[in-house]
Amino acid sequence: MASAFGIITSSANHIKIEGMQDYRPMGAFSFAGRYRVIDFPISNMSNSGIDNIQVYVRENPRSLAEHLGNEGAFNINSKKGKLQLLFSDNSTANDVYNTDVAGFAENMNIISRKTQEYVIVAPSYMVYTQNYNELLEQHIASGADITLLYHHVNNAKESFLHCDTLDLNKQKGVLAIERNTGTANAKNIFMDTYVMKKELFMTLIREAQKLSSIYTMSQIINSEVNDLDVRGVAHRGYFATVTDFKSYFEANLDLIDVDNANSLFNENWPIYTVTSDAAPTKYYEQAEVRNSLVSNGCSIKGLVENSVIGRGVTIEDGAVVKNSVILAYSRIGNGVHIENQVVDKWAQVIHAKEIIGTPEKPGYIKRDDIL
Amino acid sequence: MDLLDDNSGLNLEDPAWKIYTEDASALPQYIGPNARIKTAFITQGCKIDGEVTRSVLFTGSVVKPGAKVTDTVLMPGAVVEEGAVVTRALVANNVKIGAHAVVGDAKSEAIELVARNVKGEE
Repeated sequence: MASAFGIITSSANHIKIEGMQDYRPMGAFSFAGRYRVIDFPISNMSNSGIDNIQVYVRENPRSLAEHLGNEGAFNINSKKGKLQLLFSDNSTANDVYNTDVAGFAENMNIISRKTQEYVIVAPSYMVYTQNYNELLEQHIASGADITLLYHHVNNAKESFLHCDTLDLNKQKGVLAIERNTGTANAKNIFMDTYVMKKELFMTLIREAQKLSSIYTMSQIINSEVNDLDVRGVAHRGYFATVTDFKSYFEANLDLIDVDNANSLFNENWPIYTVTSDAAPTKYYEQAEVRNSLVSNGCSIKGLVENSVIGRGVTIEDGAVVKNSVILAYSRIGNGVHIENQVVDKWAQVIHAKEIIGTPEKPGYIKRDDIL
Repeated sequence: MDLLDDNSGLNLEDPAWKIYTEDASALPQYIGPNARIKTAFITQGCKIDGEVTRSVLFTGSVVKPGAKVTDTVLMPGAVVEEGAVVTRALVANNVKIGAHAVVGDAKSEAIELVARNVKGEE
């Protein structure tokens, strides 16, 4: 069995989620009530037998470092495996310098010392399940230099607007990697997931840096598609990107649909996370809850519809929560009406009685804030 | 069941005195479009799409649409199929109560102990 180590990249610098990203990197965003987005790539790697994982962190490392410090939670063999956090020294001069390649180049010594032959690079800001071992075998069998994982969509005009797309020929050879500009609905969305030999990976990093200080991995590969054998492999199953506020909001609410949840969560492919030993959720007499995902440790007296509720949330008497994502430990007070919002952790909405957004333009209530 | 009362004396939510437990790798509770929950303790992995009143549901319990669960404890993995009516019962691990089956009696003193699958009416 060929060996591979995993790399989980932090978000690209052209992606920014206002508000939420002020407090934590995208990989640390809460997802579906009890997970963090990074649980998905890590669980994918762990379940695929990839025990050596490097996680690159660009900013606000505390919550991610705390979360990943619990190596045992992710079923990673403590002797054979290693979950490393690698930080990049961010350039304060100009954010354009803070690319994935810059992060890799800074940690080149650590990459070069890995004994595995292959590397699998996956993003910390996309939610999907994939057996990387199968992907690696497919890559090796195809004889390709680089395999790129993509997902075919039919709504690329309004969605996936900050993602790259793959232009493929009939044999799934990659002709180009280009930003999605929303010009067509049918597109192959690149899942920022790469498979290649470690040596090639290191060569590409060096070449990228020679060409341009701000070249990204996808850009250097794009410039070499004619010299290298780059193939696309299609992904099937649930796929969501957390690349802007609205996509974060929608990806969470999408999971209330039982078909989506079944397509993402599977007994045979557990998604590990750091658990919090919270008590079961208490539903009071006057509670009315419908069509929602509710985490443990909550106390619910009000009405909750079509929402995702994180751990330890309090929803008081007469409160109405609709179409919203309520993050852990926040509180919705008596008679407060919340619709189409993301309420960040520890926030308390008590005095403001009506915070109503629209599905097209959901609102954001800041972490720790008291309204 | 005493825990359903707020004044039970046991504060499970005290952050200064956490009760540690084996936290199963399970999804958050999924509350469906037909769910009606009144006074209940529900933990993760449960899928509720029926009526649950004054009950305690352990990890991975399933209550299907049209089912009515009242004054009952569902142990881990218990499944209550469509239209079944379960009252004043304790349903053991992974036991399945078939569709439209009737288990337990609201007027009975004794709690109905259900340790085997109950056949439903198809």
